Amino acid sequence: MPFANPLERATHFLRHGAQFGCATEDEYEELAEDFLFGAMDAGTKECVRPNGKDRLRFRGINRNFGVACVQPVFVRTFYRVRLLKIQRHGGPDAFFADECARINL
Amino acid sequence: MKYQCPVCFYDGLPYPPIDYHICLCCGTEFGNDDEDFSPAQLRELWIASGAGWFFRTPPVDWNPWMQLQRAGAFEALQDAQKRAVIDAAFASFREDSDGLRQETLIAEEFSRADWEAFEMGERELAGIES
Repeated sequence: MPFANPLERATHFLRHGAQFGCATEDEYEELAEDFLFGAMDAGTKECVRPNGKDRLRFRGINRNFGVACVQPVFVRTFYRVRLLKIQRHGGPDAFFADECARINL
Repeated sequence: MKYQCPVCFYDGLPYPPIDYHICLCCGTEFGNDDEDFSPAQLRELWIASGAGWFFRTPPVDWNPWMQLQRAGAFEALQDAQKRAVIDAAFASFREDSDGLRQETLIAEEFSRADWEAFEMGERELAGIES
């Protein structure tokens, strides 16, 4: 499933594409889809926020983080979380737990 | 319907500032960046980085300083940014034909003798003996 529309895809690519070494929007979108909708490895965690509309995935080893809308299904965002942000939360597990519990969105 | 960014105050957003949408003007990702910093802090960072337009080309006549001023954020700016606002205001003044004519007249009235007196004063201030 792709981003919701071409504008979302273009803005997110511009903002985060370089973090993954992507040269094109297609490349970035493909990575986002693989991460959010592909098979999960042992190091990747998944949860659904209390609002029931955001499904999250996080891979602690490379700090890849993605959010997908549950219904209708599309990519909301996909980026590499800053190390400082993870440290501020108290580590990868705490960061993901906090993200999963967020209701201030 | 258009929405306003709470960080840079750009009011042409095609979506509300939530749900990981990204501001076309300052590049703030809502739900990500504003989880770490307040809108005022993000605004300061944006201004400190030059207050540039984020996505593709800016709208015609877009001016970040005027945008901030219109939103009442002028007081938050540092002196350098305030000067940029004033420069932008003077630039628009020059586009006006009357303004340009007045500027030319003032320049013509500032005669050679005035320039010499002005330069002499400058040298004295700098401690240079002529």
